[in-house]
Amino acid sequence: MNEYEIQKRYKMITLLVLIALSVIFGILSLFVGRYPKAGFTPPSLFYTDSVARTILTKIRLPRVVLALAAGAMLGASGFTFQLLFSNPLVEPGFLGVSQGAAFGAALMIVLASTSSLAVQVSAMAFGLLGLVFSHFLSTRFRFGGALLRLVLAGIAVSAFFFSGLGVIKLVAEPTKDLQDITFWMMGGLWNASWVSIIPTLVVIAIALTILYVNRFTLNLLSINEKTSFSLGLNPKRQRTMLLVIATVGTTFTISVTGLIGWVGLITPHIARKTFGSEATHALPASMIMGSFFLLLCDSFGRTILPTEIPIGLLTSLFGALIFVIILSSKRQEGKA
Amino acid sequence: MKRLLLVVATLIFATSLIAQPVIESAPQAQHYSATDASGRTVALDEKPEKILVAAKAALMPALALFLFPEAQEIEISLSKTDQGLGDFFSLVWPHINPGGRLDQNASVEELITKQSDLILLKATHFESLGKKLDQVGVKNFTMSLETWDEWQAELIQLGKLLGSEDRAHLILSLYEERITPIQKRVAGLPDDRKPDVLLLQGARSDNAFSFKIAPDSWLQTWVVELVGGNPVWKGSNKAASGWSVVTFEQIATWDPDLVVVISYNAPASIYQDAIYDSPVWKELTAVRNASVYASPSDMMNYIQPVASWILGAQWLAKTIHPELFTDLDMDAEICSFYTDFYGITDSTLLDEFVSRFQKSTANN
Amino acid sequence: MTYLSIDRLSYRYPSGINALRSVTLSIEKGSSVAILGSNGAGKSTLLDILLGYTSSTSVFLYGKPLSKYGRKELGRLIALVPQKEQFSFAYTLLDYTLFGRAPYLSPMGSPTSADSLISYEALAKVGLGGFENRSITALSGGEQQLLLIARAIAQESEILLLDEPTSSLDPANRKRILTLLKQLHAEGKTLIFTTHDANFAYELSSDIALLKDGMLLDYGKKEEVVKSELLTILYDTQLTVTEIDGRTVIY
Repeated sequence: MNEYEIQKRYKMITLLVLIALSVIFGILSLFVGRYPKAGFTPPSLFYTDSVARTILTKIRLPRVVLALAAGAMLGASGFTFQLLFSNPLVEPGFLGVSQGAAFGAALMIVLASTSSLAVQVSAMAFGLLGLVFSHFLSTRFRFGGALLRLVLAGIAVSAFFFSGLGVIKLVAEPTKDLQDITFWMMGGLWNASWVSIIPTLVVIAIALTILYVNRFTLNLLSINEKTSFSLGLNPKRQRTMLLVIATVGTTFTISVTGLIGWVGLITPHIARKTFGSEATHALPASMIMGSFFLLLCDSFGRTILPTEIPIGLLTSLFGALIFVIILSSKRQEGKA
Repeated sequence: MKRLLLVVATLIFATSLIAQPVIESAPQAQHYSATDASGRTVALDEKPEKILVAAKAALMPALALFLFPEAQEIEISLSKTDQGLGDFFSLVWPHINPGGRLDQNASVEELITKQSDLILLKATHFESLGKKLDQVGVKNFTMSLETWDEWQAELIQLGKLLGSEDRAHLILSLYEERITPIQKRVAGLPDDRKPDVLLLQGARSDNAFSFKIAPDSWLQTWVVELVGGNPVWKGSNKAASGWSVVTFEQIATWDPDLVVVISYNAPASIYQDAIYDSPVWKELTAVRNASVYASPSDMMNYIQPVASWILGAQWLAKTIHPELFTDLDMDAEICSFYTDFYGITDSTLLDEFVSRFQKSTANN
Repeated sequence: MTYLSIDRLSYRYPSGINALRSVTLSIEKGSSVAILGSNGAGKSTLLDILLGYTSSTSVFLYGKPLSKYGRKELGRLIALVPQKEQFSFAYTLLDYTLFGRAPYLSPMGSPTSADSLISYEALAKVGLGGFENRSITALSGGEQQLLLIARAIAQESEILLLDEPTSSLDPANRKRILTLLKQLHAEGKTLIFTTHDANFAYELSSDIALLKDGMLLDYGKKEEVVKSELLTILYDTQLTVTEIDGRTVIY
C-alpha cells in the first residue's frame, strides 16, 4: 500500500470521525435549550414531563436536523461554487443567489400566498436569476480580471436583491403581517417543524448526493474548459448541471431559514486546509463542517437568550473572524 | 440742575418708548404655545386652521388630536392610519381628507406642500422630519405617546397648543375615572393571586407561526401589571427597541396561566386558532385550561398606546380577574368611551364598534 | 487504414475570419509531427480541432470521425498538454497528476490504488518523483510544464497534443522537456505539437507541417520540408538551413 493509499485511508477515517462527532454533537444539542431553564435539560425529565417530550420531538429535533442539513448544504454549495468558478473567494451569497432566494420567498408571500410550495419555487427561481445576472454582468464589466469581475458583478446583484427585500418591507409592512424582515435578511431556524422542513430535507438530500457523487468531476471543472474536455468531460453541460443543483439546494434551504451567509465561504477553506484541496475528501469535509458550524451557532443562539438571535448574525460574526484569520495566515492557497 | 432734569427726562422718555412695546406684548402672550415631546417650545400666533398629522404611526397623534372637539372645525389631513383592521377616521368623520391620504413615507417636501398651519408627528420622526420642517419654518409638534405617563403629560401640552387646556384635563379625568376602579380592586391582591400572563404578538411566515414579546418599558407590559397580572416576559426582552421573537421553549418554561395574542394588522383569532391547533402547544397550562385569548379590537387593537388603550385595560382586567369585574360590561364601556372621549352619539357607529369588538373576541 | 487524418479542413471563426483553409494531412501512428508557423497562422485552432474541442467533420481517427467517439473514449486516446494552466487551488502534484486518470474512472468514482501507481510513475518519469505531496502553487514555470506532461502521461493515451511546449522556458528546461518528449516518442506515443521554434520542431519531430495564414504550405518528412526557401516564405524572413557539427540548424 503506497503513501497515497495510506493518506486516503487516513482521510477517510478522519471524515468518519467527524461525521460521528457531528451526530454526537447533534444528540447533545437536543439536551440544551431554555426548558425548564436555560442550559442543560436533564434526560430524566423527558420521561416524566410530557411538555419536555414534546419540545424534544417537535421543537428541538426538527431544528437540529435542519441545522445539520442546512449547514451541510451551504458548505457543499460554497465548495461547489468555488471550484466551478475557479475562485476560492466566492459563495452563493456573493453571487446574488442567497439574496435572490430570500427576495423571491418574501415577494411570493407578500404578493400571493403563503403556500409552502409557491414560496420555495419562487425562492429557487429568483436564486437562479441572481446567478444568471451575476454571470451575465461579469461578462459585461470592463474592469479588472475575470475573478474581480465576477465578485463585483455578484456584489451588485446581491445588493440589488437585498435592497429589494427592504422595499418589500417598506411597501408591505402596514397591511401584511410578514415575518419580520430581519428573518429574511439575517436568517433563523425558529420556524423548523417537521411539516415545514421535510420538503427541504428531501431536496437537500438529493442535491448533496448528486454533488457528492460528482466530487471528482468538480476538481476537473475547476481547471479551464479545454483541459477538462481533454480529460473526457463535457464541461459546459456538467458545469451547468452542478451549478444548478447547488443553487437549487441553496435556495430551498434559504426559503426555510432566511439568508445565512458566510458558511459557504468559510467551511470550504477550512475543509481544504485540513484535507487538501482535492474534492474527494474536501467536499464531504465541507459538508460536515458546515453542519457542525451551523449547529454550533444555532444551539448557542437559542440557549443564551429567551429571545431568538438571527443566526446570520452569529455566522457572520464567527465567519468574518475566521475569514480574517484565513486571509492573514502565511500559507495562502492559490492566488486571488 | 436743568441739565440733570433734561437728562432724566430723556432717559424716562427713551425708556418708555422701549417699554411700550414690551408692555404691550405681554397681554398678547401666546395662547397657543406648548412644549412637545422633543423638548421644543412650539408657538402659534393663532388657532390653527389646517393641521396635518403625518408619517408612520400617525394613528396615535391623530387619535390624541381628535379627543379635542375643536378638531372637527379644523381642516385636518391625515397620513394613512389603517393598521390593517380598518380606518377609524374615515368611518367616523367621512368628510375629512377628501383629497386622499398622504403616504406614510411622504418626504419633507410633500409635507410642506400641504401648507398646514401645524404638523403633528410621532416623536420618532423628530430627526428625520421635525428638524427639517423647523428649518423651513413650518410649525410642527411631536408627540411620543408610548406610555400612560407620556399620554398624560402630552395631552396637556397638546391642549395648550390648541388653546384648549381645560379639555385636556377633562380627558385625563375621564381616563382616571376608568383607571381608578381597576386599581382599587386589584390593589390588595397578593402575588400568588396575580396570574402569570403572557402577551404575544403573532407573525406568520409560510405555514409557520412565531411570536414576539414586548419590551419592558412599553404600555403592553405595563397594562398587564395595572390590571393585576404578572407579565412573565418582563426582563427577557433584551432588545429594548421593539418586539422580539421568543423561543417556544421559553414559553414552555414560563408556562403562563393566560396567553393573550395580539395582532395589529390581522385578526388576532388567527393566532389563537393556530395555538389551539398546534400539537406543540397542547401541553401548556393555558391551552389545557382554554385560556388563550384573542385580544380585542374594533378598528384597531386595544392593546397598544392608542386612545382606546383603556378599553384594552378594562378587557384585560375582566379576562384576568373575571370574579373581580363581574359588573364590567365591555359593550357599555365601549359605547361610553366613544361618547365621552370622542363625542360620538350616532348609534349606528357605536353598534359598529361593539359588533367589531364582539367579533374579535368571539372565539374566546 | 489511416491513423489520424484531416481531410480538406476549413474552419471559420464565429466572427467570420477564416482560420484554416482546406488543410489536408495524414498522420501515421507513432510519428512526431510539428506544426510550424508564425503567430496567427492557425496552429492553435488546428490543435483544438485535433483535440475535438472545436468540432469539425473533417477529422478522422482510425477512419472514424472524431465526433463519433464518446467523451471518455476519446480521452483515453488523445491527451492535451496545454501551454499554461491557472492554479487556483493548492492541489498536490500527485492529485493533479491523478486528474489524468479521469477517462478511466467509473462515472461516479474516484481514483483507485492502481491509478495512484500510474501517477507516481508518471511523476517519476518527468523527474518530479519525490515531490508528490508538494503544492502545485509552489512550482516554477518549467516544473509546471513537466507536471502537465506528467498528467498527460498518466492519461495513457496514444496521442499527445502539445501546445507550444517550450515557449516560455529557459534553455535548461527546454532541454529537459525535449529529452522527455523524445523518450515518449521512442516509447511509441504519437506526438503532435505546435511551436514557432523551428529548431525545436526539427529536433523533436519526424514530420513537419508548415502552416501559413491558415493554409498548409507543405507537409512531410522533416528533411524534405525544412528548406531555406520554404522557411523564408513561412516566416516572411530570410532564413537559412544549414548543418553544424552534424546537426541541422535554422537561423
